[in-house]
Amino acid sequence: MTARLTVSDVTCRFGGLRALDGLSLTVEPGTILGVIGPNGAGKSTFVNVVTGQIAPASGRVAVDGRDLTGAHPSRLARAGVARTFQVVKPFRDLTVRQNVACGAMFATGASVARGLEEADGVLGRVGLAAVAEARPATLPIGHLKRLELGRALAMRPRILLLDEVMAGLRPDDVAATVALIRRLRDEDGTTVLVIEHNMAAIVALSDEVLVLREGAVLTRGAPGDVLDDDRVVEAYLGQRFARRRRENPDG
Amino acid sequence: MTRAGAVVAAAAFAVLCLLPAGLAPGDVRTMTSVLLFATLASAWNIIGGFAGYASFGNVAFFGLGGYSVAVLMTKASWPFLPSVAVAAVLSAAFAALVGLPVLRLRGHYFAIATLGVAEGLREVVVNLPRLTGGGAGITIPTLGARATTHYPGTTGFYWYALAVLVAAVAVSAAVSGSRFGYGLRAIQLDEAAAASVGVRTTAAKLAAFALSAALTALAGGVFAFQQVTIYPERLFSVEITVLMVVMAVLGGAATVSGPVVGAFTLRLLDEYLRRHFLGTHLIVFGAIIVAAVVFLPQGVVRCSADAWRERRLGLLDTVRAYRL
Repeated sequence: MTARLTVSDVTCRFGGLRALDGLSLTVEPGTILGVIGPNGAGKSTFVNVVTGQIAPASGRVAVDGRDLTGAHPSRLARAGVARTFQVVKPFRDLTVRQNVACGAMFATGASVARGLEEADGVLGRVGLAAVAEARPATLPIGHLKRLELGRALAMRPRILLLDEVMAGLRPDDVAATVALIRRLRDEDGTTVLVIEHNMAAIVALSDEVLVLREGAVLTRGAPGDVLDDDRVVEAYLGQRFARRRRENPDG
Repeated sequence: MTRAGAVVAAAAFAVLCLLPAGLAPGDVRTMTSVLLFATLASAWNIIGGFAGYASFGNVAFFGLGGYSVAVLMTKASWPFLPSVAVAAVLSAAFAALVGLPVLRLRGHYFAIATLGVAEGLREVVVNLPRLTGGGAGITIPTLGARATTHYPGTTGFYWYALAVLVAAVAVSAAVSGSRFGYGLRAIQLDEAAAASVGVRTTAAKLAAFALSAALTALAGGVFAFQQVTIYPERLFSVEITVLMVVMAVLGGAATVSGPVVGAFTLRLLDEYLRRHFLGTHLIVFGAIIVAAVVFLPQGVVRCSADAWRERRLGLLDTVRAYRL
């Protein structure tokens, strides 16, 4: 079976800095993959390369075996790659409903009427039905994060990249979002990549966790194993802390 | 369009149809100019309002439209209507060609580049005297054997201008409610987010620019024939560019009715001041524009819609809501 997402040997430079350095990974359909790593590990660049915001210097990105390296973001969107933005980007003069409808209209080719209809369904799923006619400017950040998610869901994505979608949410909203993403994987077979600082959410949600460091894969595995890995502790907290942890496993 | 919007549009159209019968010829000429400016503002609104790419070079399409009509009628002996149709197509093609590089720029850079395109095109016209008459201008034959089309006269041009405005408003209304219109608004509000939901941003911007150019060229063609003799400075005038932008923005950018409301208000105000305050009319006109920008920052149409919805009727309340 072809992987849903294949990233092979991708390198991405900003001046002298290699933000991604020969990154390779595959993700199977219907998996939730948590992507973590210290600041500067290349998480955001990874999202930007997969969604077409940045063309890699070398390497290949393929969706369901189809090479889409360096394609325009809109082409990737129509190929089924949806994302949320870490810094929310709502269309602020459109209503919440129209925002979500845009996802359906442009990614799936729905008509305006059909898009608005789809939006109503999605708004129910992300819990924004009550504010459907509101403008984004009047909403708190938690709602805007869910609007990002709703607009991406309306695209009926095959691959959904969630960039810090739970940051700034209240604990009960986090729980609701975790449940929603699980349901998406189970019902629609969506592949979900979760980039998140909220470790509790990552562990609760992910089938697998991948750790990035210096633009390459440090390790990958079940959430519990990965967080227990000395190399991961070292990448986050430094050698001294990792050594102390080895010497004193209970503390 | 909402039902109320359709009723208002139909009523306005009926009034405009009856108007020439009740006005003196001088006033009909003024109204023709109002209609042409409303067309220019509506056309500008498609690229500058909906898509949010503030073109300061739309006068290039006005000039290209006018000169295409004049050259085709004079050198190729074409009648007016096919000439103006070809002028629209030519301008759209020119916009698509220029847009390919220029629409990669944003904000101030796009504005400056389009301003340069208009100035450049004027220089081209001046330097092709065999075709365009150069700086001395070109005269469309309106009498005798060389005339290709009967000169329509004051009222005739009023009808041409009204037809062109109806076309511009109909196109704007169609764009506004369509998926294309949603795509343009998405581009205006956040181009990166628009691309990430699947909007073909380059194609949408090119189409908006070409559509805007075609409608602008129609107005240019009618204006050229009405003027009979046209000169480069008269058609490629920065003043026309500024007026169409100010009209669209003051009326309400990215709305269907805003540019029309803005054009009628400002052009008629200009005419009134010109008649009653000959010496000071420009400074009064300028002061009124400044006041309008301060008090109605989102444009007349949006401010009044918001005020009506929120029952916020004092002028200062509007300032408080948008400016503080």
